[in-house]
Amino acid sequence: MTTIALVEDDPDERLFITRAIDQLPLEVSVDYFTDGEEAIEGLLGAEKGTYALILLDLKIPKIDGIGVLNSLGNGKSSRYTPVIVCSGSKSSQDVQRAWEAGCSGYFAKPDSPTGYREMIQTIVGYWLSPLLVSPEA
Amino acid sequence: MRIVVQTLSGCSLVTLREISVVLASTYTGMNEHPTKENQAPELIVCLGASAGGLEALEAFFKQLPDDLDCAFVVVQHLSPDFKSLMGEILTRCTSLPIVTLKDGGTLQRNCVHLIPPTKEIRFEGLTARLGERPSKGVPPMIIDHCFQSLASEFGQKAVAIVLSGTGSDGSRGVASIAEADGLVIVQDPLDAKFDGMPRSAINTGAVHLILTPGEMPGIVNRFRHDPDSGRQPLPPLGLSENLSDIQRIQRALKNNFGVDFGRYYKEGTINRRIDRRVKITHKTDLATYRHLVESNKDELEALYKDLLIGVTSFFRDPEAFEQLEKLVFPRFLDDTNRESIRIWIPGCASGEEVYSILILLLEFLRDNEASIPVKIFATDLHRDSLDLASTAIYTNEALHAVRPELISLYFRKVPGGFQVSHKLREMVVFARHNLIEDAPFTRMDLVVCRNLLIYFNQEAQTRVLGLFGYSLVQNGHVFLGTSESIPEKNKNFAQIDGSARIFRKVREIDFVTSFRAVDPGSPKPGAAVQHNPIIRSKNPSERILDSLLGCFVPSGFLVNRENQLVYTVGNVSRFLRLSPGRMTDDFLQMVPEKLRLHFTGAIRRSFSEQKAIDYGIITLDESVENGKTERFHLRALPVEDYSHNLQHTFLSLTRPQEETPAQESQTRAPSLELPELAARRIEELENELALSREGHQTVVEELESSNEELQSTNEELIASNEELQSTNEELQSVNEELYTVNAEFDSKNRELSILSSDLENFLQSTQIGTIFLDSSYNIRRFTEAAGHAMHLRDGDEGRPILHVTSPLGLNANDLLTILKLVEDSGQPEEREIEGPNGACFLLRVLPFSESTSESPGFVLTFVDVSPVKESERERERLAANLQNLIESVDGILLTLGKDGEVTKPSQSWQSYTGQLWHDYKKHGWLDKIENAPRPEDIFTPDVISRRRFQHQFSLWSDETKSFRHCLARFSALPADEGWAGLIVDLENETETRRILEQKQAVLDEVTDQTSTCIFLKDLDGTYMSLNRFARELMNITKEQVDAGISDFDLFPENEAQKIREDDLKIIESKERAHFEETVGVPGGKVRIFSTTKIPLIDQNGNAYGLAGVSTDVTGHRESERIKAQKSELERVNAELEDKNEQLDTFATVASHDLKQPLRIITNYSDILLEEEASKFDSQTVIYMQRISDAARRLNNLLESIFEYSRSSRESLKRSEIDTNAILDEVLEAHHTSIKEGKVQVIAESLHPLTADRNMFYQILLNLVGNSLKFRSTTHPTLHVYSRQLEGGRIVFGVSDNGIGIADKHFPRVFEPFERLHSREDYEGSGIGLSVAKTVAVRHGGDIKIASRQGEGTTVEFALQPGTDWETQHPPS
Repeated sequence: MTTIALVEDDPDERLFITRAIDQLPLEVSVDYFTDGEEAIEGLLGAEKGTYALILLDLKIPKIDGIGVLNSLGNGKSSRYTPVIVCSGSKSSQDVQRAWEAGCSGYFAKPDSPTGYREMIQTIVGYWLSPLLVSPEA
Repeated sequence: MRIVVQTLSGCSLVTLREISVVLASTYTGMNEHPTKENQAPELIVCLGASAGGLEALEAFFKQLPDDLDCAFVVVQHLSPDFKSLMGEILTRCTSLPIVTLKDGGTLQRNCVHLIPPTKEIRFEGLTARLGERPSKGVPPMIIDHCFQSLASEFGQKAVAIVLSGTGSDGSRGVASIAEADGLVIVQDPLDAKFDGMPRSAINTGAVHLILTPGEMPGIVNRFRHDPDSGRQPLPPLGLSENLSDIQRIQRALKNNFGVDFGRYYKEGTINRRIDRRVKITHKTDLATYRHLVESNKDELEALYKDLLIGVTSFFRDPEAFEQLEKLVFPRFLDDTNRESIRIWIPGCASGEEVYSILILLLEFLRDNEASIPVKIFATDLHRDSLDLASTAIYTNEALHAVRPELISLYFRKVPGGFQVSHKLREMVVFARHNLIEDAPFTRMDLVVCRNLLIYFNQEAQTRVLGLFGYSLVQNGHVFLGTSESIPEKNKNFAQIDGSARIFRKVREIDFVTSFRAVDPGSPKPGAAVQHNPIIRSKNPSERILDSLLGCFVPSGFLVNRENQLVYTVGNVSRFLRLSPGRMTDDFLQMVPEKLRLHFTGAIRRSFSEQKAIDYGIITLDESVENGKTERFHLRALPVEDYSHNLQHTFLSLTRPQEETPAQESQTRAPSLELPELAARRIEELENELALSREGHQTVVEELESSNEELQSTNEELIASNEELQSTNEELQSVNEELYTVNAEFDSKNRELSILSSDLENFLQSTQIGTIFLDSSYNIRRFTEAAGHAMHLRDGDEGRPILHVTSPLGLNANDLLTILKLVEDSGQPEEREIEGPNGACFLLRVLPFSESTSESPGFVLTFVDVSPVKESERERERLAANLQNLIESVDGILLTLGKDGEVTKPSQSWQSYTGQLWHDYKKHGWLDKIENAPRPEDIFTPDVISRRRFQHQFSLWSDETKSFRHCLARFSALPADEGWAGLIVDLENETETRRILEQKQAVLDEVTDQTSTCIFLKDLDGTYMSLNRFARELMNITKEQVDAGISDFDLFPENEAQKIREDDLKIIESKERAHFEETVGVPGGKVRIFSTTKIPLIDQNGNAYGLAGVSTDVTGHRESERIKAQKSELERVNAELEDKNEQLDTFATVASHDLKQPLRIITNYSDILLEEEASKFDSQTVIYMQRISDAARRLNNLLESIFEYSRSSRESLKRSEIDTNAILDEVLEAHHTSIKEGKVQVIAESLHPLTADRNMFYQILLNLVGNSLKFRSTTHPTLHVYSRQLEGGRIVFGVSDNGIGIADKHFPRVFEPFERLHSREDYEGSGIGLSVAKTVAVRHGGDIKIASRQGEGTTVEFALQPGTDWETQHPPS
């Protein structure tokens, strides 16, 4: 079973993302964290390989996404786990900062269910497909 | 004033009026005032003092009037080893002369007599006899000695005063004084520094008054004066009558209230309180008060209340309460199964303490989160108090010790104060209870009994403590008042906290023991041991008791431990036999031999087993009465009396048929038929026992004797202890002497330190640098000023002065020379020495005068004389100047005396007239004047009063050898010393005038050349002069000015009026002033002038006009105004920029944050539309579609706002950009529209440009987008091009053949969010052109539009500085 960590404070966003993930023809479970502190604690504390992927929002309470990225860079367990930023901001500044903090990918939050499906498919197809075993396969 | 008259009974307190009676009775009683010729003092006042007495003496003498006509003798314990300063100290407090008595000296009235140390005094009439004090081994009793002599010599004229001190000196003496009817006054022990002597004296009962020292002189005076005092005796000193009165009062109290005060309460306390009532009711003595009490219930009640009610308050002694909370309360929590906490508070009075304890406990429980029910039993004898306590209303003042939060928690506001809350009140049970006589409450965890025991006597205290012990559970606590305690010998309690008086019960206490301990019916414990148990006689009541006993108690014997028969009940004679021989009270010897065994056994068992023994049936044959065999049931019943350590056994003999079946089942004795052998054996054993008893007796006697030995040893110890005590007293007296000496030193020391600080301050304040040297020229001390001058520092004391490198012009050798000189001559030396920076010091070296100092030395003083020096120099300079001045004067200076005589030689006179000094001195000078007037004609009274004169005459000139016309002007010298004056040769004046005119011309020329207005006006405002600049400005001629012209001719009336007013002010005040005048000048212009006007003052101090200087400052003012406007504009600009920035930030944040929820709305509506659409009907789907569309539009709008705000906010990043590549990107972005609309695109090759790449892209994207959006329906074209203007600037253009824009809309198209079309027709937010405009403007360029409706639009923009070009449609 593959598990994805989702760092997102907005329950609606979580719903859109998990919905898109559920629509994948794969068995993927989602652990979510609702603020930066919680995320750092959970992600750094997790055993290596717990999460195949981390989806991270930038605008989250307590410690923002950039802060989370910086902290993860220091932790050994999550160092090789891809961190994909999924942010509502399209500002080039934010994108720049996210890259500098070491994210593996940056997606602006889509504004339609289709958009979400496409985004998740892209992410999964790019970063996870080697790891996944499709139920049908 | 507190006055206590204490009689021997120690219980009588009387009013002030009576005191005077008392005082008078001790007064000798002269009827007429003593004549002044008789110098004998009226009273001999003797003051005895010891340790701490100095202060008391000071206080006494400070209040002492100096006309008391008494002699004062001060007897103080003084150390023989020190010089006494007593005399000096007392001098400061009184104006009376102070003499130290000599042997044989006479006591003087109004005089204070001191006794030398080591002496003791006695009197022979008014003659003092001084004897050596007894040798050291004996404590000095000099005060006693003095008082005793005083009493015997002066009797009623003697006044003895005992002041502070330890020990008991004086106590024996006051008794003598009192016996001799003298007056005895004692310092209040509370006031005295050491209360030993005052207390000791008071304890003798011979003291009349207890006062503070300050009050004593007044009383002595009163005692002396009261004329009809005399013959009344002192109040009776007898004991019996008063005591019986008190006893009767106590009986009345007992009868009415059931409380036996006489028995249990401290006698002193009771007597004091009764005395108080006597005083309050204005009764003269106890007997009358006793009558009142016996006849008046109210007074009895009042007395009862007084006796019972103590002082109480909330949280009295907070520290004790803290300890209670810390040490006792936690114990309540030890037992987790505890059901309740029970507290007994006897003597609760008005309840403050009860509630204090309860609140404290509840707070404690609350803090520890424990909920244990609390029950408090609060008892008191006094019913009214209990009522108060249970009503529980207290005033604000009473609650001041309670923390406010506790008040709000446990009290509620009611009229008159605060009432304890119901919750609290319900936990307390109030009951009337006599602590001594009523049964105690039981199973208490804590007994709080504060400040009650102190009123009880020893007996009652012991009893009450026993009760508490019984009342408490094991390990329960007693909380007593601060001055109460449980004696250490009471092993039932252990002390937990000494200062808070908390005790813990550590041993179980038997109620019977404790309760009977002081049973009123039983004799006192001590007496009981001696009591003979055999009843020798009976009184009638005892006989009745006996017969009752016979009726209700079975027949029997009461036997004690020694087998003595103590008592018999019923007819038991048949059991008794009298054996022949010596009479014995041994019971066993009285009974028949056959029964003896049974009785012995029964008695022994009952004693050993301490319980009732049912011995069984015994038979008595050969009964005395009827000779028949009778059977009796024998039982032994131990009867104990613990308090007396007595044990008895009651042997009851009843007939078997009287017994109840239940009793039969009790223990049966074994069969009584003993074999003969056993009987013999028993007899043997008994004999053996008797033998061992004798042995025992011997041992006891031996112990007794050794006990006696111990007793005698003990007595020896006591004796030696007494010896030690006397040694101690001796030590104490030495100590006192030391203390006295110390006090004197202390006081001297204070004076010294004051003196020293005075001196210090004086030295500092003089600002004269002073250095003290010792004989070896070492610095002993120096002042701050000297330190400053000589560069000395704090640590330099002790250094040789010659080692000091001084900044002054004084080297060590010079100084040494001076010092040696002074040393040899003993005379002061002075030197002037130079300091740094031209300062000058006067150094004065003085030797220490030998009379005031022990060690020789020097005083060096430095006085900074620089200012003096400076003024000297100044004076010389002035004198020289004056001389120069005099010499340069063109005239004759002459000084005349009062009568016109020449007093000083005058060089100028001599050279003008050729007269020599001896010729012109006195009145000789007049010889050279033609027709000289007489002096008295010159110095007329008028001239003298005006102090000046002016005179013209002809004076002989030696030069021209002729008389020349001269003018003399003289002024009076100060202090009528004469006259000084100047004589001027008037014939030289014509020349002077010519020079003046020349100067005037030059001045006029100068004023005319300046470009400033200069003018003079007379008092009427008419111009006396106007310089050329002013004339030209005013457009007038010099002739016009000379003809007379004023401001009213030059300026409009109101302006002229204003100028005139200003002028008048200046003339009036005679002070210069500055104005800024705004005036209209010819030519219609308004000019601003900055004008300074100066009044013109003549020799007599009168103003005769004014002068003015005006500068035209119009231009200056104008530029200032513009500058101010500019800076204001700059400020507004900065403000605007600031606001703009804020707005931008807001737009960014707003658009970003608004987008988030919007996106969610879009998402949800899309989910509904795309994935759940089948669940809704078609109409709903349309509506949802609309929501979705609206949300998307809002999203676009926000996007646009964001973009707009970014375009004006983001910093420009200029770079060389490939404009063609960007155009390709733009076309690619719009390729769908281009394709759909079949638009023909003409893309020219564009010029390269240096600009912000993103922004250029943005502009182009928007412009192309607009052209595509508003394209023509037929053959739409899009033309993108660039062209180079003259000067090299590049203009980019986008042109189309679309719908175009009407001219009237041109002004609005660049406004943000301005839309010219409805949303149904053309989508868009109306932001595109605004963004383009902003970007262009930010680059310094501009954007221009040309359009014709229906034909198309051309937009051109430039991203380089410059906005001047023409745009046409279609582009050329």
